[in-house]
Amino acid sequence: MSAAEEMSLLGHLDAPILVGDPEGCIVYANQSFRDHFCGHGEDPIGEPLAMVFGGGAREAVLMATAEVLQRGQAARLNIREGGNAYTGLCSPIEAEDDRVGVVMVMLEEQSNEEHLTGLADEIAEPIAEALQSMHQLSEKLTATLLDDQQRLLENALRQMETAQKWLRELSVALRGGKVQQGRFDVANVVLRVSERVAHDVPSSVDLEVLMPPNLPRVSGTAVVFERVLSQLLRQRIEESKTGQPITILARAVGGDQAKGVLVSVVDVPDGDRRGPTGHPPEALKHAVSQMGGEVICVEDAKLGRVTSMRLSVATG
Amino acid sequence: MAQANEENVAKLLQQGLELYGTGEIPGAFMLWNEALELDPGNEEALDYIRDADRRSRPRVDRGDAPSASIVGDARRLAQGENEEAALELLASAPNSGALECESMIELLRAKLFRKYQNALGDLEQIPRVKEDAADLQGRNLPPSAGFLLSMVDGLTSLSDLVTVSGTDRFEALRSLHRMSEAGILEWGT
Repeated sequence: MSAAEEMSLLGHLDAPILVGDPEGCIVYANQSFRDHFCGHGEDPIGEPLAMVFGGGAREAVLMATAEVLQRGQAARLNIREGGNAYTGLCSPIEAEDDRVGVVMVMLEEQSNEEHLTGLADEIAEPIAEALQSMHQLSEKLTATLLDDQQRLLENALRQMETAQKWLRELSVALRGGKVQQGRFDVANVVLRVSERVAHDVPSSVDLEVLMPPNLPRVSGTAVVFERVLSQLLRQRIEESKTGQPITILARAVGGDQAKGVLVSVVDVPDGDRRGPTGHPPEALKHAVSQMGGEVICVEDAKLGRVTSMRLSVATG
Repeated sequence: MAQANEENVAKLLQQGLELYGTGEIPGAFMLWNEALELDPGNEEALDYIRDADRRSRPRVDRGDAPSASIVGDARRLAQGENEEAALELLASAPNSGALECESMIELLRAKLFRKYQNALGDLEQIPRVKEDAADLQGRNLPPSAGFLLSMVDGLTSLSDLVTVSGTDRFEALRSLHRMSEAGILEWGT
C-alpha cells in the first residue's frame, strides 16, 4: 500500500472497502479489506474484482459488479468468506473521464451462532461453580447428615452434573459438531469493555487504556472474549487497593510480522480484598485456551499485578 | 547538546561498558539508560542495550522459553526505581517473546505511564522547543520523537500532540517525557 493510501481515512475504517475501475479491476483496497480477504502479503491491486473472493462469493460479486457497471445502479450482495458472513453494498463511482467504476463496502454480520455459544458458555460457568460448592459442602457434611438429607444432596449433585453434560452437548451442537474459530477486532472489544465497565464502576476508579491505533485481527470469538475480559476487569476492580489505578494495555507481539496480540490488565491488589491465589477466573483461562491463546498472571511487590492474555493473529 | 552533557553521556556509556565487562548487566543497563535520559535516541546507548544481552547469553533453543534470570534482573532494576532500564532490558532480550517477559513489560509500561503523567503534569500545557535547530541535529532523536517535535509549534497542547502522534499514548508520553528531561522541551500555559 502506498504512503498516500495509508494516509487515507478509508484505511482507518473497520469496514472492508474496495474500489474497482470501469474494467472491473481493483484500484484500491483498504487495510481492513486486505486483512479480511487477502492472504498474508498478497497485493490485490490490479486483480479482477471477483478474483479475490472464493467459491459462491465470487459469483455474487461478479453479478453485483456487472449490475453496477452496466446499469449504473447500486446493488446489494451477501457473501460468506473465511467463516464470516458479510452484507455488501456495491455502488457506482464516476471516474474523471465520466466512465463508471465500482465501490464496494462490506459489513460483517454478527452471527447468531456466536451469540448462542456465548450464552451457553455464560450458563456453564455458574453451573460449574455451584457444582464445585455442592461437592465441598457434601464432603464437609457427609458425617453429620441424616439419610434423607444425604439423598437430597446426592440427587442435587447428579442433576447438576446432568445439566452440565447437556450444556456441553449444546455447545458442541451450536458449533456444528466441532470447535469453530472466527476472527475479531480485539481493539474494538477492549474499547467496548472498558467503556462499559467505566460506566458501571464508581468514578473514583481510575481506568486507563493504552493501545495503539491499529491492531491485527485475532483468532477467536468476540462475544466470548468480551465476556471474559469484562469478568476479569470487574474482578480486578473489586480486588484493587482504593485509589490505585487499573490499566488495560494491548499491543501486537512477535516482531515486525506480529504473531499475536497481548491484552493485559494491570492492578495493585489489596491484601484484604484479593482472592487467595490472585489467579484469573477459570472461565478466562478456559476461554482463551479454546481460542488458541495463553494466560499468565505475574505479580511484583513494587509494580503490582498483571494478567496477560496472548491471542494468535488470525491467518488467511 | 552542551559539551558538559556530551561528556556525561560518554562517561556513562563507558562506565556501563566496564560494568558489562564484569558481568554486572543490570548495572550496565541502568547507566546506559541514564545516558539515554540525557540524550534521548543516543544510537550508541541503544546499540549497547540491544546487543548486550544477545552477546552475553547462550542462544535459547526453545524460542519461547521464559528467562527467569532476565525477569529477575528486571525486577531488581525496578526495585531500584529504574523502571526505564528494566523495560529496555526486557524489550531487548533475545527471548522477549516469552509470555512472562511480555507480561513484565506491561507491568513496567503501566507504572512508567503514571510516572510520565505525574512528571509532565497538566497535559493542556503548551510545549515549546527550548534549543535551537543546530543543537537538535546533534541529538540523534528517534523518528517518533522527531515527528512529535515537528508538531511542537507553541500552540499545540501536550494532549493534542499525544492524540495526533499515531502511536499509543504510552509511547507518545514517553517521547515527550524524555525530551522534557533532556531539556529539549519546556512548558508554557
